[in-house]
Amino acid sequence: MKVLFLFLSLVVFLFGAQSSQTLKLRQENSVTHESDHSKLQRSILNANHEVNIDYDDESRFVIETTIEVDVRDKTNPGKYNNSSYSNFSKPLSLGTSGYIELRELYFEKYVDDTLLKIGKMQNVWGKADGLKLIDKLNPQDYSQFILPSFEDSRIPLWSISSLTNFENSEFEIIWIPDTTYSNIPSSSASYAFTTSRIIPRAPDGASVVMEDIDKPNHILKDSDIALKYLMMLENMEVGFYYLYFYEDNPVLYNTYDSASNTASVQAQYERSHFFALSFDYAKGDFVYRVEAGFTKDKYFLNDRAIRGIQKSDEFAYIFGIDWYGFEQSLLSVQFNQAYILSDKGGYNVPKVDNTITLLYKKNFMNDTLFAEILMIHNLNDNDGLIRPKLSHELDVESMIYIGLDKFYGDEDGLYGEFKEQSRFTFGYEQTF
Amino acid sequence: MKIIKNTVNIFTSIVGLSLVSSLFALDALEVVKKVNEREDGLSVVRDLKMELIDKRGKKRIRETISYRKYYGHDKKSVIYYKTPKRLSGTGFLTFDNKTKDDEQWLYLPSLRKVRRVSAAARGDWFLGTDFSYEDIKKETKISTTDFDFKILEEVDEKGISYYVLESIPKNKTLIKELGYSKIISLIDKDIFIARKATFYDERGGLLKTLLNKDIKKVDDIWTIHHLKMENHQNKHVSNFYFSNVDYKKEVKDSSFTKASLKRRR
Repeated sequence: MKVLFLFLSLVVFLFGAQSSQTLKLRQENSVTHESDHSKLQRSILNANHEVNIDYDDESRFVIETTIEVDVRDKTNPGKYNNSSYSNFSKPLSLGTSGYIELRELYFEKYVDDTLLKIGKMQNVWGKADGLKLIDKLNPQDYSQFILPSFEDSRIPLWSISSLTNFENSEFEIIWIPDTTYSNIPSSSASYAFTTSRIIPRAPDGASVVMEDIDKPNHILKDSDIALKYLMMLENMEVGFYYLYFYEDNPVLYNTYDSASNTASVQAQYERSHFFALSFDYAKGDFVYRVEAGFTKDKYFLNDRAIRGIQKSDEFAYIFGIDWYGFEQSLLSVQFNQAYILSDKGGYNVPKVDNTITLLYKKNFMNDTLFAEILMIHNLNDNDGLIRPKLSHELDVESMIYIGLDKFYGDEDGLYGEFKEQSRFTFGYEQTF
Repeated sequence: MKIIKNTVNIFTSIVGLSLVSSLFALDALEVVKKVNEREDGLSVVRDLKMELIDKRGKKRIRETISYRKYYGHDKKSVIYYKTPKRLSGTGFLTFDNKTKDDEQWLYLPSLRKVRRVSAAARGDWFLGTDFSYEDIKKETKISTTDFDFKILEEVDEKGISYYVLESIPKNKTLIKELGYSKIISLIDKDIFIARKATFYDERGGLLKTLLNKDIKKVDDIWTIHHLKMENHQNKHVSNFYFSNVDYKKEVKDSSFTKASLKRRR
């Protein structure tokens, strides 16, 4: 890291580039409530440092690093010791209670109307709130499920991108050789998945054997490729997307040997094709948004299938309406449906899975007080998550905030399984 | 005979009043036209320091850079936050369209997403200031489709001659949309810039006062360098200080794309 900073300093010195840097410190605590007492779940100190080096209007170096220490260390000890990261992207663990991570390191340059980027970065597609349909270029750190912001939980990848602007459209192509996948918390973690939607069930009394994970690691053969074309049609933005990729969540093939009463599970990553389109349209106080995607060859848990996995195509969409009718506020409602396009039965997830979300944001006191509430509700399992949050700007560079993450509903649901991990969070953020 | 004379007098008065009234209306539109036709450059790049002062006197400073360019009757503009660092990179892109609905996008670095926002909420406060989105968009120009105008009087003050212009939204929907029931502006007769404007809220109460100060020529274009907006209802004040105003610097079309918005370019 020191060598890198020295190199960048030399570059700045030699070429007279302008640099700017931002250091953001955050202290955050989360408290859970068990039957009769409260428990400090996590108490973190997070430092995020970003340096921008601009040579001119056309080219820039960006480097961003994060150090985080959890003095409580109960959420997911040693979370970065798992094998979902490639060797180039794995954060450096500080014992079991912290890590240092190179979040971004890229160079970007405009060549005529094309922006070229190379390095470690986040590539963000889609506009949905609290849900991801098109935003699937970068894997996700699920060590706290979906509670951290997507900005923090999205795992940056080494990639090369080219984005060309035309008069009323843009075309982007991204090559991602980084074989890092989503960070799934270990079974001892606070937010370990237990829902039968994701985790196969072993018969009572059976011993479970986790076989070695079969993870792609070839930077050419196993790389992902992504294409996007966005265009403006009058007042409507229309997008077309294609992604040839490894699904970031492992497929858990599972078998049961009754003779030895042993269940074996093997995690394996599978490739898929993803085609999608999006559009948004503004009229009056409303903005209408649609994202729709078709996944060719997605792998689902299925008790009736050989090795417990059934391959099927999937169609999913999110329809959202944003309403700006109230003063200084946004009310957003989304409806998400996902269809398994197969005649077969026995799937562990519903063949038609329905989720609704509601987001309300309002600013007060000349944008010094911010209130928001996000609700996600799965209609099939009748479970969900409610997240009210209040933030206050103490000074131009400092904020305090309090929030609640309340899970409810069916304990075998994607959200209800974390009922015991509902938490109250408060924190302080200072920027330098 | 007396009856005839009285009738003539009444007739003359009615005609006279109508003539005066129509004369004022014509003058008012001419004044507005001259305000709107005032030269403000094909494009401009400028730094904007926003000083926001709450009722207890606590100051917050935001430093931004903005780009604006005309495309015929349409206008594109973008503003980026430089400080505070907490907001650095926040960008707001606006297409002010003549023949179709306006378009707006907001980029928040914390989300890394360019979010389309409704351009109909033009009466909302612009990013925590005392200016509305419409105030910012119009840049001291006056919408002829939203308001009816009347010259109330012509006054001289400290050696400057003014038209006192009353602007009233054409209907209740516009009053609600803009958040104003009336605007009284003092238009400098020589340079056709409002040096002062008083805004009244939807119910007719005094809302805020704008003072345009430090007006001087840049590249031969009259340019306001200090705008002070005082909200009388919440006692909040916004001072906008423009500097490094450059009408000659090339502003590329690519500055007004969503890709650029993400890149703070």
